[in-house]
Amino acid sequence: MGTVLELRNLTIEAATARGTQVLVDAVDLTLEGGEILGLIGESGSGKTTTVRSVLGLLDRNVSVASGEVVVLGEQVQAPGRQNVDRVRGRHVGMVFQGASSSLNPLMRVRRQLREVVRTHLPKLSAEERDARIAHVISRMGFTEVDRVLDSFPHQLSGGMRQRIAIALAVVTEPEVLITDECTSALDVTTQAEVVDLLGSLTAGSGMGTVFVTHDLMLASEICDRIAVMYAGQIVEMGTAKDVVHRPRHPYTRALLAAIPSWDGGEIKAIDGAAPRITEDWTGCRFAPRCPRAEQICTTGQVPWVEVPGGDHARCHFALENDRGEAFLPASSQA
Amino acid sequence: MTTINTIQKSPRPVRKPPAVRARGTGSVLAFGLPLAVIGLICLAAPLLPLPDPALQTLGDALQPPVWMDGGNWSHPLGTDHLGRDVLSRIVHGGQLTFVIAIVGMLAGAIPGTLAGLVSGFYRGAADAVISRFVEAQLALPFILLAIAIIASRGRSLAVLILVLALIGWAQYARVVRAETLSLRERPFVLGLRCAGVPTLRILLRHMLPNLAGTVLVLTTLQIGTVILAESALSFLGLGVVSPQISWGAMLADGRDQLSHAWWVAAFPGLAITIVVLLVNLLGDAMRSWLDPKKRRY
Repeated sequence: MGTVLELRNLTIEAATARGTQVLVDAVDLTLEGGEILGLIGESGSGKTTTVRSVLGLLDRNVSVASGEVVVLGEQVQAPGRQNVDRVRGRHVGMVFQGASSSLNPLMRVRRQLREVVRTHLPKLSAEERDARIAHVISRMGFTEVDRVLDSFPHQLSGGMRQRIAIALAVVTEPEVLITDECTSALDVTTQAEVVDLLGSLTAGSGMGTVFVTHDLMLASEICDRIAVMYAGQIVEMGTAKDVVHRPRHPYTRALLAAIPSWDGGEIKAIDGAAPRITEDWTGCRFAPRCPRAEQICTTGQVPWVEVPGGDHARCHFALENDRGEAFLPASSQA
Repeated sequence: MTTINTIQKSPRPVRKPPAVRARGTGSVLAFGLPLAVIGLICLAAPLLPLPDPALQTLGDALQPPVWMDGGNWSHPLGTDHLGRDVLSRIVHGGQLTFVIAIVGMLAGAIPGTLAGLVSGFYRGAADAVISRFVEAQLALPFILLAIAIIASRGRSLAVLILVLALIGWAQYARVVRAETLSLRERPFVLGLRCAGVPTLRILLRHMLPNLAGTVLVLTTLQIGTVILAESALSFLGLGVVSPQISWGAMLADGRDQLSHAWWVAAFPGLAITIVVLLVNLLGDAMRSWLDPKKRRY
């Protein structure tokens, strides 16, 4: 199973009244077929912008400033060049948050699925098309296929609608599936259904899935690898297990510390807010909020450090404090 | 990883798909049927045993309706100042009134809706241009515009409908644009774009049906406006003129006799009121009838 999606040095900028803002800065990502890659970050970290650029869904004032997006070896995004029409829906499918409104409320599910299939696979006969639709719906875990297909979206529950939305994205058997916070609006049980579904769809298939979420624990459940984004940069990347159990970047550690625990301990919020990144920003983006920050952090470029074991972190101190859960920021140890 | 079987074990009940009558069918029929009957009577006017609507009998001028002193069954709703039968004129005048109302409404609704759709969906330059036109249109007093156009183009049905289209389109463009702006941000539109559905198809097959309710309600309101505008123009001598008859023109004719022969103006006025009311109520009923979310099974 080869590489299905590559982001190479992708930088995305927004032209605003207050000057150019860097939304995504030199992001490198690769996605293999059969793999689930988690993209984690808080609101405004650029994760949604990153994945939306793959399908050319950026706002008017937002553009790719450098780098490229490559799908199946074909360049689909580069500065001043966009070639997404050929992959949209056919090779890259996308699922969004908001199951309740991700389907056309006036159309039965069957017609919506038919339309997508007809758009991309016009050569299929009506029987082949309907067989394919029935197959994809049963793969989504529905047993009463016809009843689901003959329903209007509002007749289905939130979790069912989100599974239909996934069906719409995968009915053309794309090589890349992008899910953007697709479980965030669901309750925990339905969340589990959808997450399991994504796992079974991806595992062992040629399709790679990008799972965008702000929920680190959820991501660690299903992802093979996790990339943590902060203020437009990937600050840490590694296998899901390593990122959660041996976080190398202070931001990842802060995120993990912010997860409420069973023993009723205080929830440790990260002080301050993510900065607005302009072109003249120097040093580490997390430095203003980082408990570990030193003089060196506020100047120059922060190295992308490889940690023994293959993980990476964008931190001067990534190699230090390799003590897993026992880690305490240097400032609080003193 | 748990398997998909955990989901299959507990499928939540899916409600049975339609096959049952939608809610609102009753009210659609209640308002639609009378409207259809009125329309049919007007259409069949030449076949009905009514006197010639243009026949003047000056000896019978200003006869009151049958239930008043001096009224008789040969003119059930009385006669106007030229002795013409009011009932016959209402029935015959209804034809032109309906044609003007429907064609005038469509002539405004179709370009207005498309302009609003394009403006709201594409935004940017198209929106700027269309919105400025809408504002210019709304800023111009309608009567002034009508006088200018009719004076230069001459009086004809085609010009009248053009004028009525000009009053209407800006309203549609405004409302549809606003609705489209909110609709285009709905995730399902984004989903369709992601699925690679062509833009034209998104506009016509997904956006338009979702806008239909709004347009339908606006349309019914607009039919009333069009009937009233037509009568205003006819009153000024810019609309329908003798020997053609419309309810608006009759209303204008009867206005002078309002103090001593109220029936000349009152009955066409009543006809307008009833038809406009029925159309509005029908529009409202159809809106909930067409919306699958409001259906009951």
